[in-house]
Amino acid sequence: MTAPDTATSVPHPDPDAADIVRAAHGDQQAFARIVDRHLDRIHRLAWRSLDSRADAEEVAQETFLRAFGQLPDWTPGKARFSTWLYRVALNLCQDRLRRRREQVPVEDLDLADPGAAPDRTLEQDQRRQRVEQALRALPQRQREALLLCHFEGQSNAQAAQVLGVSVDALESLLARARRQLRAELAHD
Amino acid sequence: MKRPISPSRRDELLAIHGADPAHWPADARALLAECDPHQLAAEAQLDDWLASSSAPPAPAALRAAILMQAAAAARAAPPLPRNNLRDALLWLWQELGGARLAAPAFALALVAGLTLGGGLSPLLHQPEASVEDVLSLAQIDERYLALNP
Repeated sequence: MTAPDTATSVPHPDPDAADIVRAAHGDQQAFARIVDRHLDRIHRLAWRSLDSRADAEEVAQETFLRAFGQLPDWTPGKARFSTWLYRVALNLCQDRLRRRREQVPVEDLDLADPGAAPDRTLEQDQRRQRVEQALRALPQRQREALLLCHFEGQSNAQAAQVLGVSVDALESLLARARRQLRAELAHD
Repeated sequence: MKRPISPSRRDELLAIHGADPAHWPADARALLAECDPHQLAAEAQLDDWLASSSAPPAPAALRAAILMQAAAAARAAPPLPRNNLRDALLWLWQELGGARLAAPAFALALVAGLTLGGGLSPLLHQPEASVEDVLSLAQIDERYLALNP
């Protein structure tokens, strides 16, 4: 599984590099630009991982505050800053999911409000709920791979770096996730 | 030069990325047209399902909270650049008050050092015993008689 793939080519220069240096020297505007570039994605990733508005907001907040604390130690060139952000966010999500499994029955969770978009029809809502249920039923690594690549548009190489796996392993996770989803949704 | 993508790899790409060309590697997108129509339709249906899952954007209050907390953290502990020695020295210089405070302090310390060094120098560097001293010693102390000419 190593055919030519432009989506897995060498990463371009980190678009955050200049702002990281400025923010590390106390430039709040530079940090605000970093937040603006990534907040929606990190929030969306946490929201989809946790299916809880409150938890997603807390994870996003914690991710950026950790990032802020690490800015002076950031070494450019190793990996993209966004890769590191995704990794921190996913680790925080994993911690919360683990705690949930240990402590709270799933039915008691404050899950995202399904009626958040009033313009949706009942059928659309039911469909969305089925898809999100199927996503939640995926094994964690498969779900993370799918969230990063399909929903966040990360390249295979970037997603593999976030998850700490090879591109081949990432592709395998994606293919298995899609297969399971197809089976799950076709079954309903 | 890149090798052409084999039919089995093309099918793998369909299973990995689905039927949306936007998710495919740019140099393989043309191969979508060669995929099995049934497989393609099944993957397109899954893409359609996944598209129904939408996440809300981050609320503006969240952005404000993050920036406020970062500003508070910066006030509590100003960031220390540690990526290189130059940055660390620059940071230390600024922390010490820069040219306004540190420069006069360093100048004062330098002057004090030179003055003290100059004043103590005669005390620290006593001249070595002269021949006359040895001769005088020989005259007054029997143990050094042999030195007496």
